[in-house]
Amino acid sequence: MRLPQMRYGLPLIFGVFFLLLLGGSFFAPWPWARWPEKTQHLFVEAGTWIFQRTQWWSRASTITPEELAALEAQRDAYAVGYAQGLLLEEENAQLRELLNFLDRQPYEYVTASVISRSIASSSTTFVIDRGSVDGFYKGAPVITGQGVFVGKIISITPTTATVSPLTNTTSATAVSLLNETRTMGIAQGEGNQVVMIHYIPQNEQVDPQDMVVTSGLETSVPSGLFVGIITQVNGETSSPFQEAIVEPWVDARTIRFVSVLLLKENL
Amino acid sequence: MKWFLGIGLWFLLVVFELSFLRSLPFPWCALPCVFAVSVYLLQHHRILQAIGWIGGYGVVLDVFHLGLVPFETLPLLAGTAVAWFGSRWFFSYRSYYGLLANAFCAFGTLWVVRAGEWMIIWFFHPEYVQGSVLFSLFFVQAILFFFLISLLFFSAKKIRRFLSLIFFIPKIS
Repeated sequence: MRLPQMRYGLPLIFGVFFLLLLGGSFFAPWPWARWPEKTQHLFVEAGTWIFQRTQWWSRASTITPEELAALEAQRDAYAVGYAQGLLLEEENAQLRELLNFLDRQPYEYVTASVISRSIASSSTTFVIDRGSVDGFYKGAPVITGQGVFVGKIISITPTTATVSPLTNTTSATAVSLLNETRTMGIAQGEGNQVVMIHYIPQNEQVDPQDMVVTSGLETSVPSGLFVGIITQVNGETSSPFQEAIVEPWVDARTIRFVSVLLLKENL
Repeated sequence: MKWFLGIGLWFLLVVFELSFLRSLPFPWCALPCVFAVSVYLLQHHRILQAIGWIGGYGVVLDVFHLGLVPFETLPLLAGTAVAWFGSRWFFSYRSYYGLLANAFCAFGTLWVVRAGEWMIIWFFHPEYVQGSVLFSLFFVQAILFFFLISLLFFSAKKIRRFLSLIFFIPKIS
């Protein structure tokens, strides 16, 4: 007589327990209660690992010797620049120490893991494992560990947040070019992993390889976050405006961890 | 009991699709796993809980903004309604061609309703809709969907054994 009770009773108790854990994980602020997000992140890690390997394989098979030589030259130039940057960083740290520099940055960094994604070919929104209980809010900028701008938070739940990368067609970011005139504009996502800056006046000198950073004109996004590099400039001389195609520095499809910049006053 | 197991299986399937499959390179990231499995269970095993699976999946996509359209639940439920209607009145659950025909109707309805939503979005924000991308996505997803449906049909015995083993469906004597 006891056997049927054991057969159904025990799974029933486990089932109720599982449902409570699943439901509670969406609202609980404690890290241990966020087990579904941790499970999801493991799946994301596995999928991204495969993605990165296949990307490397497909690119490696199509690269020409000329492209390889150009890339090697570019790498050497970056290596020199990196060395100079390190020296400047060291010098800057020493000078700040001398001046007893106070950290007046109004932002705090909070790291998060990617737990889900949308279909990558058309739009590339992704979900991260922190939400309003961690102080996140809509419009907060999302960056990679190296400080490269990825996108902004578009919606939040207590324990998760959805990020829209700047390449999405619905994304727009105030940017500035690191050219002589410090041209400003709005970077509009084009959906196919590129960003377009429209309505640049013809008298502005914009060239391929110019670097693009955030301008700081948006209240929640600080200035100087690296966005990408201009790959092409379009515009006839008869037209009052020109437009630039920007290749973002990070591919949102390969991101597994991000940092979110939060205004200290909101924390 | 069946409902708890159903929710557990649904959770695993949703996590598998949204976290693992969606992180894979194109076209594999477009595999409509939850929809295909639900249509298969509805048509071939007459498991009505699959309607709830699709509804729940749609809500998850809408809450986290992970769908192709803003109200993903609507096209998903429309596709499922057609699948249920077809399985109930038109197509034989034992036949491969019956399953394919019903899946074709469900998938077609899903994309017709999606196209309707895109038309509305395009009317207000034409820059948000990229016709060529969506068109290629439709073809890729159609191929993957029918591939997965066929795979499930030809593994039907194993799936039935698994489902009866976890008490999801009664054993066949």
